Amino acid sequence: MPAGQSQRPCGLSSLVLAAAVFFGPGCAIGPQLKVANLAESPSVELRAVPHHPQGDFYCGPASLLSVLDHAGVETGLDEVMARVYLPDREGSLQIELLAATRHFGRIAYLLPPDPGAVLAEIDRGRPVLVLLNLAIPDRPHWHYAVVVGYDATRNTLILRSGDHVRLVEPARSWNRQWTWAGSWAMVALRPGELPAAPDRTRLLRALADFERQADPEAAGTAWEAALEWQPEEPLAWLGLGNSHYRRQDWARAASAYTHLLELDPDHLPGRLNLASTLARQDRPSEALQVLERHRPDPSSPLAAPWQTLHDELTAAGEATAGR
Amino acid sequence: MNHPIASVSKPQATLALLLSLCLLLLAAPVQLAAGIISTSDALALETNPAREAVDAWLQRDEVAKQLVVHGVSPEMARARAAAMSDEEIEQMAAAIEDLPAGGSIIAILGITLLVLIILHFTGAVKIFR
Repeated sequence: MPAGQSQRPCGLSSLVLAAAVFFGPGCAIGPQLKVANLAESPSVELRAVPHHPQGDFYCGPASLLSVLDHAGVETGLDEVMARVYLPDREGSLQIELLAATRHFGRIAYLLPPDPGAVLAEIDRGRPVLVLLNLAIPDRPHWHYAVVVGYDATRNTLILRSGDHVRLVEPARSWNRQWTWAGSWAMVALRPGELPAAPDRTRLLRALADFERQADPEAAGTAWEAALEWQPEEPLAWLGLGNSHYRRQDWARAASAYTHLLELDPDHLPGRLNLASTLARQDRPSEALQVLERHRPDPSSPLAAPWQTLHDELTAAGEATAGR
Repeated sequence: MNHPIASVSKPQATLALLLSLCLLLLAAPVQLAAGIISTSDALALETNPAREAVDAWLQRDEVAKQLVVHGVSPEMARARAAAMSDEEIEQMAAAIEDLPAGGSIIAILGITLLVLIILHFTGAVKIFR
């Protein structure tokens, strides 16, 4: 395949291609990448990942749709476009791709800036949405594509990119384009799935963001998977408790928060939430006891919510006593 | 000397005072949403306890307005802003113009064409024969 054609992003005209060819795959610029040193198999290709032709400028929506399709979301290009396309910028922003992934009921997990993490996801059968810079750092030309495979013997990556159903890119040139775009890569996880090599902060961030809009059942499933991975992660217990709470399953919520406080008695959000749950169970005096065991420092951002809850519980306790 | 403060009219000053009061009232860093501390608030406190109290609600509104400016319908802009986390809202509010938008190419194309056309008509280069 001619170098110029392999660079064709989002329905790009030939004039800009001249520049693209110049900095294209033929150039041996940028850090070398040896697929064989990072990947598990000699070659993997996720043939089932659908390709969506992009027309002009729609590489973001089309790439996201491929990834969502593969993660079992039933939707179409118009729905995805409505969520991520910015008409005036003629493109899509990374944050909106993450937010849209969650809107469609999947967890958006940002991979660490490491090519090994991308290949590890492919090894698990998961396509990876990447941002590429097809030009140079000073004059970037942003482009989204989906990594669907690699070939360690040829040292190439296989992508759904632009109008190309199957674009084979030398590992080094892909690595340059990816590094020059900030090494940004995401996967869409079904609730209950974990990334190939979870990173604590990244996973907790992804799940907490997912929980904001997810239905509580799906959020609960997601937190349970995290707890199978790290059974003593306080924040995952808080997340599980919060999803039970949102389903008004007070007993399960209380049990999750109680377990959290056993692991970490100083966990103030867990303490407040346990007290709230006990109050919902009509046990204001127990709730007050739990709350008073740890009073936050007045400078803490949790001091105000603590006080509010304390006042409510005191009032509720007096009302019960007066009956 | 004409101090800028002296030129502020009375209604303007009153308005400024009112707006400042509104901002103060709205700047609650952590709230009991439906009676509990959300997991994302707990995570934010954990990762950055000294985080400045920013008003996510106001910023979310601002981001939605920015999306409208960039051609999204008002209704969809609100929905899209609502789908973002507080942290994402902060990033968007800070730099929507500077964030990379994958897929944009026409600007570069347009500028390149313009330069070529100018060069052609000033006689610097002969492109179109």
